Amino acid sequence: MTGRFFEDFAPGQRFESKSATVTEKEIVDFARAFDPQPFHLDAAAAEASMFGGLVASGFHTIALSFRLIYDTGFVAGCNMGAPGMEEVQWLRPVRPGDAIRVTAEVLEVRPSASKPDRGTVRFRYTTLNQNGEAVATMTVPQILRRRG
Amino acid sequence: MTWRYLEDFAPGEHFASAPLTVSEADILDYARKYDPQPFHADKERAKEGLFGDIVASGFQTCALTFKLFYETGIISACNMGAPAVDEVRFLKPLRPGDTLRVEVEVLDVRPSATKPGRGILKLHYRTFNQRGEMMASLVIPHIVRRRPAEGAPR
Repeated sequence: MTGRFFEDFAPGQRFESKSATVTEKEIVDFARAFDPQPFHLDAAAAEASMFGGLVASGFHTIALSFRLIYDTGFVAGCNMGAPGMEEVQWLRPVRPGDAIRVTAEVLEVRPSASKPDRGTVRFRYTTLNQNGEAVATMTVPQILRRRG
Repeated sequence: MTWRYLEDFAPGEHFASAPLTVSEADILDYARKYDPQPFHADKERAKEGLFGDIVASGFQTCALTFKLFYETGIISACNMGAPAVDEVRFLKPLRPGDTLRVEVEVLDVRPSATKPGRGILKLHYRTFNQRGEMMASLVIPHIVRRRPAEGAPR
């Protein structure tokens, strides 16, 4: 799906990504680069942690979630960036072998008061595992281009 | 470094990370894996975009911000994980060659009402570039261990 612009979004719309299986290697590689805590890096040390086994960094979970959503293409042609994230919640751990997918819901659509070529769409992203349990949520106000 | 636990932190305390220079390859590698938007992942198309060159994904900035603080060792012994990140702000783009450093302030220290061995350490992270401009800020309520009793297994 391509070719969507700001004016094509409306509150209540929903989009869904494909799913991706997260491997132990991906979890450990991400952790080495960005979040070298024992429960993300080392299966033996993770056994003794609050999680009882290796889990993905929360930063890895949200990065993969955005990638899954981006790959659907629904903001690919119009996304100009985001000034922040209102809230990120990590609800359940993501473990090696889990398959995650993401649903996006449009919460609000707000044309820019000062810049006529763009507006803000607030999305709520919910990342689900293979059991349909929510593992993370994030609310992101994204700046989207209007149709030129 | 002595190991810090929940009771070793007080609101208003500040900590600073070491600096980290982020290369073009760092930005491109991350973007190709996790955020392949043209302004993060494509040098040519980024020239025509808002930023005039590639800039780092905000998700990468968040992860690097945490990593820089984590590597100080201040929460290495006590951090058990976090349920959330709040109030994430991306204020200035992170460009190739920028040097980041992170300042952290303790906002709140609260023992758990239900779990005696732990509590919440709420930290405000602010990320600066080499010009002293604030590029990002975020708040993380970390779940951290209380100091173990003398002789108890860690």
